Amino acid sequence: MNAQKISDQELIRLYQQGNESCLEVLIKRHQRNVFTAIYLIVKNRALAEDIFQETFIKILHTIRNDKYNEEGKFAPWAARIGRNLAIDYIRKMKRDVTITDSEGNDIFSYITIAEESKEDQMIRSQSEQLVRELVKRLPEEQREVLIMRQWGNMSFQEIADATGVSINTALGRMRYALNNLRKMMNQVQAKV
Amino acid sequence: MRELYTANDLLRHLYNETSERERIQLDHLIHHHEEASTAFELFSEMKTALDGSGLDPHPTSIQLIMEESRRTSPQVLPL
Repeated sequence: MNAQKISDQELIRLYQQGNESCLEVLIKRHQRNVFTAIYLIVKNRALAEDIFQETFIKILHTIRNDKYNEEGKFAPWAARIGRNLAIDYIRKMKRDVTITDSEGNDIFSYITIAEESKEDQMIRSQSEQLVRELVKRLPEEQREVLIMRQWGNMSFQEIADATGVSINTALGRMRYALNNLRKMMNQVQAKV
Repeated sequence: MRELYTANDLLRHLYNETSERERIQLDHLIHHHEEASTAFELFSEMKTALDGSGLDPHPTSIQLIMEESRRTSPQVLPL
Protein backbone atom coordinates (compact mmCIF):
# COMPACT_ATOMS: atom_id res chain seq x y z
CA MET A 1 0.00 0.00 0.00
CA ASN A 2 1.46 3.38 -1.03
CA ALA A 3 0.16 5.39 1.89
CA GLN A 4 1.32 8.72 0.40
CA LYS A 5 -1.10 8.44 -2.51
CA ILE A 6 -4.19 7.39 -0.60
CA SER A 7 -6.59 10.22 0.28
CA ASP A 8 -7.82 10.78 3.83
CA GLN A 9 -11.28 9.77 2.69
CA GLU A 10 -10.01 6.45 1.33
CA LEU A 11 -8.03 5.76 4.51
CA ILE A 12 -11.17 6.37 6.54
CA ARG A 13 -13.16 4.01 4.32
CA LEU A 14 -10.51 1.27 4.62
CA TYR A 15 -10.32 1.74 8.38
CA GLN A 16 -14.09 1.37 8.61
CA GLN A 17 -13.66 -1.95 6.80
CA GLY A 18 -11.24 -3.15 9.49
CA ASN A 19 -7.81 -2.11 8.17
CA GLU A 20 -6.19 -0.91 11.41
CA SER A 21 -3.00 0.31 9.74
CA CYS A 22 -4.99 2.99 7.89
CA LEU A 23 -5.70 4.75 11.17
CA GLU A 24 -1.98 4.89 11.91
CA VAL A 25 -1.32 6.42 8.48
CA LEU A 26 -4.04 8.99 9.13
CA ILE A 27 -2.64 9.87 12.55
CA LYS A 28 0.93 10.20 11.28
CA ARG A 29 -0.24 12.36 8.39
CA HIS A 30 -1.97 14.87 10.68
CA GLN A 31 -0.21 14.43 14.03
CA ARG A 32 1.97 17.55 13.80
CA ASN A 33 -0.83 20.00 13.03
CA VAL A 34 -3.25 18.54 15.57
CA PHE A 35 -0.66 18.20 18.33
CA THR A 36 0.79 21.68 17.80
CA ALA A 37 -2.68 23.25 17.89
CA ILE A 38 -3.45 21.48 21.18
CA TYR A 39 -0.04 22.25 22.71
CA LEU A 40 -0.32 25.96 21.94
CA ILE A 41 -3.69 26.10 23.70
CA VAL A 42 -2.88 24.13 26.85
CA LYS A 43 0.77 25.26 26.90
CA ASN A 44 1.94 22.06 28.57
CA ARG A 45 3.48 19.08 26.81
CA ALA A 46 2.15 16.31 29.05
CA LEU A 47 -1.40 17.69 28.94
CA ALA A 48 -1.13 18.06 25.18
CA GLU A 49 -0.15 14.37 24.88
CA ASP A 50 -3.25 13.36 26.88
CA ILE A 51 -5.59 15.57 24.87
CA PHE A 52 -4.00 14.41 21.60
CA GLN A 53 -4.76 10.79 22.55
CA GLU A 54 -8.29 11.74 23.57
CA THR A 55 -8.76 13.57 20.26
CA PHE A 56 -7.84 10.59 18.10
CA ILE A 57 -9.74 8.14 20.27
CA LYS A 58 -12.82 10.32 19.75
CA ILE A 59 -12.04 10.42 16.04
CA LEU A 60 -11.68 6.65 15.74
CA HIS A 61 -14.97 6.02 17.53
CA THR A 62 -16.74 8.61 15.34
CA ILE A 63 -15.40 6.94 12.20
CA ARG A 64 -16.18 3.44 13.48
CA ASN A 65 -19.74 4.42 14.36
CA ASP A 66 -20.21 5.76 10.85
CA LYS A 67 -20.81 9.27 12.13
CA TYR A 68 -18.00 10.87 10.13
CA ASN A 69 -19.52 13.12 7.48
CA GLU A 70 -16.79 15.69 6.77
CA GLU A 71 -15.84 14.39 3.33
CA GLY A 72 -12.61 15.94 2.12
CA LYS A 73 -12.25 17.98 5.28
CA PHE A 74 -10.59 15.57 7.69
CA ALA A 75 -7.73 17.90 8.67
CA PRO A 76 -9.81 20.88 9.87
CA TRP A 77 -12.32 18.49 11.47
CA ALA A 78 -9.57 16.70 13.45
CA ALA A 79 -7.96 19.98 14.48
CA ARG A 80 -11.36 21.31 15.55
CA ILE A 81 -11.93 18.30 17.82
CA GLY A 82 -8.49 18.77 19.36
CA ARG A 83 -9.05 22.47 19.84
CA ASN A 84 -12.46 21.97 21.43
CA LEU A 85 -11.13 19.32 23.84
CA ALA A 86 -8.22 21.58 24.77
CA ILE A 87 -10.51 24.56 25.36
CA ASP A 88 -12.92 22.38 27.39
CA TYR A 89 -10.01 21.24 29.53
CA ILE A 90 -8.84 24.80 30.18
CA ARG A 91 -12.39 25.93 31.05
CA LYS A 92 -12.87 22.97 33.37
CA MET A 93 -9.60 23.65 35.16
CA LYS A 94 -10.49 27.30 35.62
CA ARG A 95 -13.97 26.45 36.89
CA ASP A 96 -13.43 23.39 39.03
CA VAL A 97 -9.93 23.05 40.30
CA THR A 98 -7.42 25.18 42.01
CA ILE A 99 -4.77 22.93 43.45
CA THR A 100 -2.78 24.92 45.94
CA ASP A 101 0.45 24.30 47.78
CA SER A 102 0.86 24.58 51.55
CA GLU A 103 1.03 28.36 51.27
CA GLY A 104 -2.13 28.65 49.22
CA ASN A 105 -0.45 29.37 45.88
CA ASP A 106 -1.97 27.94 42.71
CA ILE A 107 0.19 24.96 41.83
CA PHE A 108 -0.51 25.38 38.13
CA SER A 109 1.38 28.63 38.15
CA TYR A 110 4.45 26.58 39.13
CA ILE A 111 3.91 24.27 36.18
CA THR A 112 3.83 27.23 33.82
CA ILE A 113 6.85 28.86 35.40
CA ALA A 114 8.82 25.62 35.44
CA GLU A 115 8.00 24.99 31.80
CA GLU A 116 8.92 28.49 30.75
CA SER A 117 12.17 28.40 32.63
CA LYS A 118 13.16 25.13 31.08
CA GLU A 119 12.24 26.36 27.63
CA ASP A 120 13.93 29.69 28.22
CA GLN A 121 17.22 27.82 28.60
CA MET A 122 16.85 26.35 25.13
CA ILE A 123 15.41 29.38 23.35
CA ARG A 124 18.80 30.81 22.45
CA SER A 125 19.72 27.78 20.40
CA GLN A 126 16.35 26.58 19.11
CA SER A 127 14.34 28.99 17.02
CA GLU A 128 11.47 26.52 16.61
CA GLN A 129 10.90 26.56 20.35
CA LEU A 130 11.20 30.32 20.36
CA VAL A 131 8.39 30.64 17.84
CA ARG A 132 6.13 28.30 19.83
CA GLU A 133 6.91 30.17 23.03
CA LEU A 134 6.05 33.50 21.41
CA VAL A 135 2.80 32.14 19.97
CA LYS A 136 1.81 31.15 23.51
CA ARG A 137 2.25 34.79 24.57
CA LEU A 138 -0.08 36.26 21.95
CA PRO A 139 -3.45 37.66 23.09
CA GLU A 140 -6.02 34.84 23.11
CA GLU A 141 -8.09 36.05 20.14
CA GLN A 142 -5.03 36.42 17.96
CA ARG A 143 -3.53 33.09 19.07
CA GLU A 144 -6.81 31.31 18.38
CA VAL A 145 -7.03 32.52 14.79
CA LEU A 146 -3.36 31.84 14.13
CA ILE A 147 -3.59 28.26 15.47
CA MET A 148 -6.76 27.50 13.50
CA ARG A 149 -5.32 28.86 10.23
CA GLN A 150 -1.75 27.61 10.60
CA TRP A 151 -2.27 24.18 12.16
CA GLY A 152 -5.99 23.66 11.94
CA ASN A 153 -6.08 23.96 8.15
CA MET A 154 -9.21 26.09 8.44
CA SER A 155 -9.88 28.86 5.92
CA PHE A 156 -10.38 32.40 7.20
CA GLN A 157 -14.08 32.08 6.39
CA GLU A 158 -14.30 28.82 8.41
CA ILE A 159 -12.49 30.51 11.30
CA ALA A 160 -14.88 33.47 11.10
CA ASP A 161 -17.86 31.09 11.21
CA ALA A 162 -16.39 29.07 14.08
CA THR A 163 -15.63 32.12 16.21
CA GLY A 164 -18.71 34.17 15.33
CA VAL A 165 -16.91 37.13 13.75
CA SER A 166 -16.68 38.54 10.23
CA ILE A 167 -13.97 37.32 7.87
CA ASN A 168 -12.35 40.76 8.02
CA THR A 169 -12.12 40.51 11.80
CA ALA A 170 -10.55 37.05 11.53
CA LEU A 171 -8.07 38.37 8.95
CA GLY A 172 -7.37 41.40 11.13
CA ARG A 173 -6.61 39.20 14.13
CA MET A 174 -4.26 37.10 12.03
CA ARG A 175 -2.52 40.23 10.80
CA TYR A 176 -2.04 41.49 14.35
CA ALA A 177 -0.81 38.04 15.40
CA LEU A 178 1.86 37.93 12.69
CA ASN A 179 2.91 41.53 13.34
CA ASN A 180 3.10 40.96 17.08
CA LEU A 181 5.09 37.75 16.59
CA ARG A 182 7.57 39.61 14.41
CA LYS A 183 7.91 42.39 17.00
CA MET A 184 8.49 39.87 19.80
CA MET A 185 11.07 37.99 17.73
CA ASN A 186 12.91 41.23 16.99
CA GLN A 187 12.90 42.09 20.69
CA VAL A 188 14.30 38.68 21.64
CA GLN A 189 16.95 38.83 18.94
CA ALA A 190 17.96 42.33 20.06
CA LYS A 191 18.57 41.00 23.58
CA VAL A 192 20.75 38.05 22.45
CA MET B 1 -3.73 45.57 -13.49
CA ARG B 2 -4.67 45.90 -9.85
CA GLU B 3 -3.08 48.81 -7.98
CA LEU B 4 -5.13 48.80 -4.79
CA TYR B 5 -4.75 46.11 -2.17
CA THR B 6 -5.22 45.60 1.54
CA ALA B 7 -3.14 43.68 4.06
CA ASN B 8 -6.04 41.23 4.25
CA ASP B 9 -5.67 40.56 0.51
CA LEU B 10 -1.99 39.75 1.06
CA LEU B 11 -2.85 37.41 3.92
CA ARG B 12 -5.42 35.53 1.83
CA HIS B 13 -2.80 35.30 -0.93
CA LEU B 14 -0.22 33.98 1.53
CA TYR B 15 -2.56 31.17 2.54
CA ASN B 16 -3.75 30.44 -1.02
CA GLU B 17 -7.30 31.61 -0.37
CA THR B 18 -7.68 33.83 -3.41
CA SER B 19 -9.35 33.11 -6.73
CA GLU B 20 -7.03 32.39 -9.66
CA ARG B 21 -7.71 35.87 -11.03
CA GLU B 22 -6.87 37.52 -7.71
CA ARG B 23 -3.75 35.37 -7.38
CA ILE B 24 -2.39 36.58 -10.72
CA GLN B 25 -3.21 40.21 -9.90
CA LEU B 26 -1.63 40.03 -6.44
CA ASP B 27 1.47 38.26 -7.77
CA HIS B 28 1.90 41.07 -10.30
CA LEU B 29 1.34 43.69 -7.61
CA ILE B 30 3.89 42.11 -5.27
CA HIS B 31 6.50 42.05 -8.01
CA HIS B 32 5.94 45.65 -9.09
CA HIS B 33 4.86 47.52 -5.99
CA GLU B 34 7.56 48.00 -3.37
CA GLU B 35 5.25 48.58 -0.42
CA ALA B 36 3.15 45.51 -1.22
CA SER B 37 6.30 43.48 -1.77
CA THR B 38 7.73 44.47 1.62
CA ALA B 39 4.46 43.78 3.44
CA PHE B 40 4.08 40.38 1.78
CA GLU B 41 7.69 39.47 2.52
CA LEU B 42 7.19 40.20 6.23
CA PHE B 43 4.09 37.99 6.36
CA SER B 44 5.93 35.27 4.41
CA GLU B 45 8.87 35.31 6.80
CA MET B 46 6.56 34.77 9.77
CA LYS B 47 4.67 31.99 8.01
CA THR B 48 7.95 30.25 7.21
CA ALA B 49 8.95 30.50 10.87
CA LEU B 50 5.56 29.08 11.91
CA ASP B 51 5.74 26.29 9.31
CA GLY B 52 8.98 25.11 10.89
CA SER B 53 7.77 25.26 14.47
CA GLY B 54 5.33 22.35 14.46
CA LEU B 55 5.67 19.82 17.23
CA ASP B 56 5.12 16.06 17.05
CA PRO B 57 3.54 14.02 19.83
CA HIS B 58 5.57 11.32 21.55
CA PRO B 59 5.38 7.93 19.76
CA THR B 60 3.83 6.47 22.91
CA SER B 61 0.72 8.59 22.32
CA ILE B 62 0.25 7.01 18.90
CA GLN B 63 0.85 3.53 20.32
CA LEU B 64 -1.83 4.13 22.96
CA ILE B 65 -4.34 5.29 20.35
CA MET B 66 -3.61 2.23 18.19
CA GLU B 67 -3.97 -0.05 21.24
CA GLU B 68 -7.36 1.51 21.96
CA SER B 69 -8.34 1.03 18.33
CA ARG B 70 -7.36 -2.66 18.39
CA ARG B 71 -8.94 -3.19 21.81
CA THR B 72 -12.27 -1.82 20.66
CA SER B 73 -12.17 -3.24 17.15
CA PRO B 74 -15.44 -4.99 16.34
CA GLN B 75 -13.39 -7.77 14.71
CA VAL B 76 -11.67 -8.74 17.98
CA LEU B 77 -13.64 -11.38 19.80
CA PRO B 78 -13.43 -11.51 23.61
CA LEU B 79 -11.44 -14.46 25.03
